[in-house]
Amino acid sequence: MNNGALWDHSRHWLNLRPIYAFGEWVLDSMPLFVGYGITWGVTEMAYHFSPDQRAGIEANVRQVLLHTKPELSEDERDRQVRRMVYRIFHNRGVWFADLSVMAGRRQMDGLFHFKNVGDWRPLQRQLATGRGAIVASAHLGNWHGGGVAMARAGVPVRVVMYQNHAGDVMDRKVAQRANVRQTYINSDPMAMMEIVRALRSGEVLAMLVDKPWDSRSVSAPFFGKPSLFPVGPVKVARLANVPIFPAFCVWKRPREYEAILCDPIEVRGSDPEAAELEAVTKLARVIEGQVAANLPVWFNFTPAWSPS
Amino acid sequence: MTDTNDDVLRSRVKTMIVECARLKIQPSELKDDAPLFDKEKGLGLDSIDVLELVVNIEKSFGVQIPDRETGQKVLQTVNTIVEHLKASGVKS
Repeated sequence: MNNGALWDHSRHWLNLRPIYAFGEWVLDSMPLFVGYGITWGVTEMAYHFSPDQRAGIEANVRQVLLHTKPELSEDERDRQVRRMVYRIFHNRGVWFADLSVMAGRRQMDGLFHFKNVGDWRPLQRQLATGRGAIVASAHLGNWHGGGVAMARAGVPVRVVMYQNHAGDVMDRKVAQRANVRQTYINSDPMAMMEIVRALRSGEVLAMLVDKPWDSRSVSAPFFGKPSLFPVGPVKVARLANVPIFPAFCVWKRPREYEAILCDPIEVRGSDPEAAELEAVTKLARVIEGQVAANLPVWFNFTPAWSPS
Repeated sequence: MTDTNDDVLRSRVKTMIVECARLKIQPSELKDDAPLFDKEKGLGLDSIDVLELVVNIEKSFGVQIPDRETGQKVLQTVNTIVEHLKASGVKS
């Protein structure tokens, strides 16, 4: 189960329920472009007064650039890292403004556009069998928007998540509006029964798999260095005999989202642990590709690699 | 005869638990009434172990645990699992 380490890292003066609630109320009450202005100001402050989070993103971006652009000189890499970290903070502001509207009272049609990218037919075929599937995503772009896009495409989505410091209030509202079900994994291990039942009744379980949430994790190559990924989602896929579809919701232009569905990963093999490791490795490779293509919206404030 | 059947069933359940949770003990060391999910007094199994147990009970004994309420009742100890299996018609 969760050991609390990640929650400690996500403790932040902005990451509090009252601040989220107030921010959401303010941002949902005014035109989106005004909201973007407000979140720009707040994230500018956050950038300057969040040394831990800045360091986390900086370490992640540095490793990505080391792997994807090895030809850069040290000075040039430093410059690009600093620029990218700044950009990521401000994109996080856009994320918050959009999320506030998605969670709020306003009509979303016309404000946000969702374009389905990739081949969605394998998912439809899987659902036609009457069994569910797992959708694995990352802290990339707007993962809540991904749930909204899927629900709009008629996919019966259930988000599986841990309770967190602040965002779960908004998570609930976005989910309720979009008709997305939720299951919280907390200290009650029997919550897993709900997951089993959901998969058996043909639901799609959406999970974030780019952080080792609990003690069950395995190491897989990620941008040239081993990184820890949770093994829970692939274990669930293996035991329930359902495929995993990596999926992401990113934007390159404000309010224009791409809901990307990747090819399914099957977790099969005579050796269960080897099959799980192989699936995690494949998943890490897909996430790596999407992070490399969408680095300005990779909101992982937790260092993805140990410093050693 | 019934006692022997019970013993066989109990032993199969213990082996299944040890294998599912990859416990580093012999099945015979597992106490009949040890709470499966209690970290201090029992085995400290977690949510993934729940899934392993549910799937393996179904595979090995052909008995489904359909919902959370049943899971809460059945997956408490070796004894409660054995009782549920017997009530579902499993003999050994």
